[in-house]
Amino acid sequence: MAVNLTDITASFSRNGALLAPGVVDKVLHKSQIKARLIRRLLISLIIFPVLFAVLYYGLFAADRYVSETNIIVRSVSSRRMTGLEMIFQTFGISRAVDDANAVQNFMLSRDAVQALETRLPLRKIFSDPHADIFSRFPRFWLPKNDSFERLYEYYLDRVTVVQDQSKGITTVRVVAFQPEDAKKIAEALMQLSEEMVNRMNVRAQRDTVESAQASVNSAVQDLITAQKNLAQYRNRELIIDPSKNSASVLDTITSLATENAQVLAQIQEMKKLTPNNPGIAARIVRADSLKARIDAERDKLAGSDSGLATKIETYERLALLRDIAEKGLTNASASLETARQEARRQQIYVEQIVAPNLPDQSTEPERIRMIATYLVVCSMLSAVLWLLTAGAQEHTN
Amino acid sequence: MSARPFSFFDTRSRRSSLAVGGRVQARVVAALMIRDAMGRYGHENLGFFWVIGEPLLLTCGVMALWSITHQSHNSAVGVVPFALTGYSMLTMWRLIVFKSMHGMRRSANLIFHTNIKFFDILLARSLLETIGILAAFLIAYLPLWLLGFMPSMNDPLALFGGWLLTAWFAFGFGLIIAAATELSDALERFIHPVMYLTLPITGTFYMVDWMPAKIRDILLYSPLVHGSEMFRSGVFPPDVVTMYDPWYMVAWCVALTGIGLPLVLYAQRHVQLV
Repeated sequence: MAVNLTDITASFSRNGALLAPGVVDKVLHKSQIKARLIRRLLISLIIFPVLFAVLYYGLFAADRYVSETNIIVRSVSSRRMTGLEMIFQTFGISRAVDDANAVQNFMLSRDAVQALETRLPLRKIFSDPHADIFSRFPRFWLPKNDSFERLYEYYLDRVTVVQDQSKGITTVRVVAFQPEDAKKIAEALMQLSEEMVNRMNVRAQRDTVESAQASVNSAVQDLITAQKNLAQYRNRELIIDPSKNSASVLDTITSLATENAQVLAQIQEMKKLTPNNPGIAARIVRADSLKARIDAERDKLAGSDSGLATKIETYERLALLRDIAEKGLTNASASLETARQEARRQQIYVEQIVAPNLPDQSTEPERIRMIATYLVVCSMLSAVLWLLTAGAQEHTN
Repeated sequence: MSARPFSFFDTRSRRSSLAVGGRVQARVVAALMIRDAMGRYGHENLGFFWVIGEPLLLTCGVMALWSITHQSHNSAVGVVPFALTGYSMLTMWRLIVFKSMHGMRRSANLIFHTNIKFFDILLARSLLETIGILAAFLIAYLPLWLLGFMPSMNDPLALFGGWLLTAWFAFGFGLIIAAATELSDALERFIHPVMYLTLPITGTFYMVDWMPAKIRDILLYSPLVHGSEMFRSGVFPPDVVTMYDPWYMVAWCVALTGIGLPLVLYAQRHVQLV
């Protein structure tokens, strides 16, 4: 059966047809228009930013100069690493270098900007007449663009401090519109961070040495007190060294006892040989008095409260206290000396490996790279958007 | 009826001009991409958006898991950006390669359209993954960045450039795989284990800087490591040391495409229709 195309189209145009004449065309046309619109939007999403990038980076963007300096922050003491730490070190999992972090933090701080402002006309440098309107300091599109906070934000865009943790080298990059300015800022930053480190050093030294010094002082005080107590005791008891005194008493007792024994022996001897000897009575008196003397001496040694034994106890306690105080002082002095040495060793230095250079050619902005960035980023974004719109369109159909 | 401005078969496509040819090619590839997505996910629930949703689920799942179980080794490299960047790349690489297996055979019925070549089919498939997973990455990146879990992009050129180069590399590799699986069915058995065993040289699980110098030199032979380092250097701040050479990757990509294209041309004579 031959089908006539005009018949088919005509059948749509009659009254009561399923679709009114031209509707199919209209619907198709509408979706085409929509598709075309989306496509144009997506293409313009690529073209306009790239065009802007080409124009801006090709014609308007002002030359910027980069002054770079490398520093290393180090202390005299070399930290000894244990085995496990060394293994982690090789895998790059190590503790951050605190001192370098402090310096890096300082250079990117408001303090540093404030200090820089006192030394250099920072605002004037960043709003250089050579600078184009997009990159110059008071950013015209921001509200309150002249405040210190804005300056700080701008400063963070112009100064980068990157720390290579494996090598320990910190790279400071300063970008400005004049080569001299970039160099000046970099040099001022170096000075400021050196001063900051020195302040830290003085403080650390003072802190460690001060506490050791304080313990030495208190040890000296202890020793003086102990010595004083001992001297007072001696004066009160009229005695220099009770243990020596007791020794002399013991000596006396010994000689008395010897003599007593001799006398007693003589008496016995005489009683056997000549019982009626009148000398015996005299000898007995002597022995008795010797005995009495010995008892008296014994009393002196360990008898009542005033006996030497109690005195020795008090004396030895005081003497022990003095010895302890003496030892304390010796230890404190030694640790003061160590603290001094430690403080000397722990000093950190900011060492410049590379002095800030004076750039003779502008290296920023990287024009080609920026244009390529715009091109790649915009194409990828519009591809993603295309996928999303295509998905949305499929979904609504 | 007015002339349809976007018809495949209108007179303009017969003009043998490079621009028109390119336009037709673009339209074919775009249509194939949509067809591929539709064929895979249909109209059900999210439908087409599963192209983005599937990798998004995977990367976000891994990211959540890692952020619970792993701790950050390094203050500058957070777990969340590390996992997100690594897994986005890995997903793209794996999906493009796996989709190329028997890639010609599966869409062989399309080849009866004059404007469609096998190359277009393979290209469309790879492009769909490239753009879909990139969209997934960006969709995950945006809220995480706003919440402060991700650093702001350090270098967008490196980010997108690394992505594109890796995609190209995967596409070139996929061309070879597509042709080779067509020529030998046994080869397909090898691809899964090989892909699994080469996971360590994809650069997903480490930064090259963390490695000892000897291992570093070996790893940097792998173009995938270059790609993931480049991608990561686009996200992480400059304190994080990354090592890559885009030209090394380009050389690999050109070489793989140069081998893959003739192979595909050769293999298309042997495609078995299913």
